[in-house]
Amino acid sequence: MSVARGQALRQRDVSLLDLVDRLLDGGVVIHGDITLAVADIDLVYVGLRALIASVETIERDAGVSLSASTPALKASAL
Amino acid sequence: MSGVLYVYAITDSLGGPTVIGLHGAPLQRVASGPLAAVVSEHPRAPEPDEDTLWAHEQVVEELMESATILPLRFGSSVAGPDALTAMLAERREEFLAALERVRGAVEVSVRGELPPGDSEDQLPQAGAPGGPEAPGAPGSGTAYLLERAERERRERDAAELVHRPLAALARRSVPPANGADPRHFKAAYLVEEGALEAFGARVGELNAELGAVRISATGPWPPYSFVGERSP
Repeated sequence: MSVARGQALRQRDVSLLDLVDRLLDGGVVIHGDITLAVADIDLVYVGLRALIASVETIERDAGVSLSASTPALKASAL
Repeated sequence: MSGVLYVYAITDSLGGPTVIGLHGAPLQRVASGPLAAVVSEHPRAPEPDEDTLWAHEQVVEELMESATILPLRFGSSVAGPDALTAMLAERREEFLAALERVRGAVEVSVRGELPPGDSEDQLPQAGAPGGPEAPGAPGSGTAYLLERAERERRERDAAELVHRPLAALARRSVPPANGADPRHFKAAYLVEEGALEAFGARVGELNAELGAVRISATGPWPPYSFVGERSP
């Protein structure tokens, strides 16, 4: 997946936080019984946000910068 | 069909996508009138892990390179093509209007971070300087409340100082909103492709002008914040 992600990143300074905000909180929503939605997508959203918030705190407190592709950001706990 | 159709985007552009979908699945078009949904077929809905989020984003970005699209929220699947064509027909006007809204434009995300409270005197002043005389003694409840109100006003002002010049360069915008931490705000801008460079340059200028406020921008993104039913 690292190759695919590298292409998606392109030249820009991508933030995982921005990605999560857009994919899980933006976009067209298709409603109702035709949707076989991922049942706990909201929990995933909350979980990723919490994970990111903790990484941001680490960055600020330690004065280090973790890139979006740092393994520490992997959502393996989800 | 025993699996699900995973939906990436809705488009009114012609032509078959040459992009590959999640997990290497070929993309298909499910058309209804002038609209088509871009989908791929899977045995079950894709897992919502971080790698899949990035992979989804890559598919949508590649679609965006050759078509005007409405990106769907991650995790949107339907049982089969019939459900999809019915949905496209039912919401045709909404989708056609949204496509016109975002045609030729991309989304830019802007985040601002204000300095910690103890250096709030570095914050730029948008209005007239000076406030009411503090009637309470220092440390009193009244003084605290006045102080807090003043800090909140400055936080709003700082966000406005970032937002106003950027909104002037954008077709539409989602104005600044605070998260859990009031010192952070985020906003989104729908920017014409031709104005992207100027927008980026303005972000750089604002960073220099508003020294105490740290501004960062990412993009171009698909127009996720401008395609919802209640989007600006």
